[in-house]
Amino acid sequence: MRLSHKIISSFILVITVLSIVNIFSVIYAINHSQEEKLKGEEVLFAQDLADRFVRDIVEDKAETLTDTLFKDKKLREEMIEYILVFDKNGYLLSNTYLEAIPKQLLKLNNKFSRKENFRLQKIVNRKLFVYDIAVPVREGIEQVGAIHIGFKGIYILQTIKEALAPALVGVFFIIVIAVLFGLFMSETIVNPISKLKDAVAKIGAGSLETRVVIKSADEIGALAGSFNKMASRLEETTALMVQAGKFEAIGKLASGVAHEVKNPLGIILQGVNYLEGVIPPENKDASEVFQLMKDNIVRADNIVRMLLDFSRVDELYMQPEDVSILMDNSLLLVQQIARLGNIEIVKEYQAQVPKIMADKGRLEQVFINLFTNAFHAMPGGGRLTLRSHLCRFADSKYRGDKTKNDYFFPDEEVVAVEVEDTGQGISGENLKKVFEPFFTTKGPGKGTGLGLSVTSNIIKLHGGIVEITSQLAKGTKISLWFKTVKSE
Amino acid sequence: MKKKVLVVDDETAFLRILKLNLEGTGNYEVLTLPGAEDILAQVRAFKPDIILLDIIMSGTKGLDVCEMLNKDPAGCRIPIIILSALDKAADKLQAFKIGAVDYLVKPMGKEELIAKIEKALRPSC
Repeated sequence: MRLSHKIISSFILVITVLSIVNIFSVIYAINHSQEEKLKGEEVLFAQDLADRFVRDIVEDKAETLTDTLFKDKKLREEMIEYILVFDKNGYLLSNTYLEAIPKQLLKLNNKFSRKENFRLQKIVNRKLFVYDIAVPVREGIEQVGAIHIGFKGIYILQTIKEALAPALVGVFFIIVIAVLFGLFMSETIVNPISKLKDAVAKIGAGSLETRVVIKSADEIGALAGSFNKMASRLEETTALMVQAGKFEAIGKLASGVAHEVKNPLGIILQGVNYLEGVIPPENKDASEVFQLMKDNIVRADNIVRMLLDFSRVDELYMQPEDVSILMDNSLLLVQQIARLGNIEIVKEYQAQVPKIMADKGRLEQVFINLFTNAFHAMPGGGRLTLRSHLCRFADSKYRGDKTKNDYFFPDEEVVAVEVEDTGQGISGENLKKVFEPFFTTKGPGKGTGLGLSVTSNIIKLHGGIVEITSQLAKGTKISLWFKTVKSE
Repeated sequence: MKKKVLVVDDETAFLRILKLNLEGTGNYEVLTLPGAEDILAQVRAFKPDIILLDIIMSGTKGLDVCEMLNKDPAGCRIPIIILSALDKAADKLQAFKIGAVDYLVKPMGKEELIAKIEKALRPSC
C-alpha cells in the first residue's frame, strides 16, 4: 500500500470515527433534551388536563370527556398520538381513538403511589412508537383516575433529524477537508519521499548520475540535499574505482601476458636477423620488409612495456631532480622532429626552481610522451612552450578543489610545469577520456592510447597532479604540479 | 678458435634460430639445452666459454641454475648472461646478485646479443 493511500485513508478513518461518535452524542443529547421537555412542559400539560377532568371523571361523564379530549388533541395533532382517560378502577373511560384502541394500551399501569406525580415510558412496537406520559387524577389525596398522553416518537425523531442535518453536512465537509489535507500531505511529504525512493532505486540499478530536485527548507529538503551529495560522491568514487580497476587489471594482465608475448617476439626478431643474413642485401624489397618487421616487433614490444608500466608502483627510484633539466633532456631526443616539423620551442623556466623528488627515467619518458603528443597536434608547425615555476598551491591554476586535495595543502609551495602547444586542440568530449587507457584519436597503428594514461599514472606515483585544458583550433595545455624536495 | 656457447631456454624455436644466428657468424660453437635438469654434467662435458640462460623456464628455474653453477668448480668461472622476457628492475637486481654478468631482455636483436657476448668474453686486464 502506498504511503499516500495510507495517510489519506487513516485520515478518513479517524475523521469518520470521530464524526460517528459526535453524531451519536448529538443524538443522545437531543433525545435527552426532548425527554426532559416531555417531563417538564408535557407533564404540566397532562396535569392541567387532569385538573380539568377531575369532575367529569368522578361524575363518570364519558361523553363530555371525549368531546374535550378530541378538542385538546386537535390543537396539537402533529405531536399527540392519543389521550386516554381511566377511572379509579383502571377502566378506560374515554379516548381519542376513532377505531379500535391498540390492546396493549388497555394494559397500562394506572396505579400511582402518593409520591408519584407522573410516569414516562417509551412504547415501541409494530403499530406504535410513542412516549407515554401518565399522570394520576386526584381529588384531594385520593386517586380517582389516570390520564395517558402519547407523544408521537416520529415527531421527536423529526426533531433529531432536523438537528442532525447540519451536523451531517459538517461531517461531510470535515471528510472532504480531511481528504484534501491528506492529498496536501502526500504532495508535501509522500511525493518527495517517493521521488527519493525512485532515485535510490535508480542508483541501485547503476544510474549514478541520478539526482533528486526537491525545493523545500524542511528535513525532506535537507535529506534530498544529503542524498544528492552522497550520489555525487558515489559517482566520483565509482569513476575513480573504475579507473583504478582498469589500471590494476591492465597491470595484472600485462605482467602475465608480457612473458608470453615477449618470448615469441624474441624468436621472431632472431628469425628476422637470421633471414637478413641469408638474403643478399642487394634485394632491396627484402631489406625493406625486414626493416618493417623489425620496426613492428619494436612497436609490439613498446606496447607491452607501456602496459607493464602500470604495474610498477614500487619501482620508482626517486632522487632530487631539476624538472627543467629533465624537460631539456627529453627535448634533446625529440628536437630533430620539432625542427623537421617547423615547430618553435619556447622555454619559460623560472630561475632557481627548487628540485623535486623524481624518477629521472620515468619523468623523462613522460615529457617525451607529452612533447610527441604536442608535435602530433601541430602537423603544420606551431609553437611548443615549456614553463616551470614555483607557486603556492592555492594560487595555482589548478581547476579542481584546491582546499580538499589528496596531494597538496593549499599553503604548500609546489613546482608547476606547463607544456603548451598551438595545435588543433581536443574536443570537450574527448578531453574527458584522454587519461583513459586505450583511448586514442590517432588512426589504427599510430597510437597505443596508453601515453597519457601512463603519464597520469607516473605523475600520481610522484605524488603530483596532472591536468589538461584544451581549446579546439587554439591548442592544448598540460599542467603538472609536483612537491618540492623541501616539503617531502 | 671458436668460442663455445651454451644456451639454455625452454623455447626450442628460440634455441634453433639462436644457434643458426650464432654459428652463422663463424665465431661460435653452440650447444643448446631445452632444460637445465642435467646442466652440470653438460657443462663439464661441453666446457662452454659462456652460458646464455633463460630465467623463466618450465623446469628448473634459471636463477637456481645460476646459483648452482657458481658453486660448482667447473662452472664458477663461466660468465652467465641472463635472457629474460621480464624487465623488472627487481629481477635484474636479483640476477646480478647471484652472479650474472649481464641481463638481456627479450626481444633482443642478433647484433645486440653478439655485442653482449663479446663484452662478457673480453679478457679483463
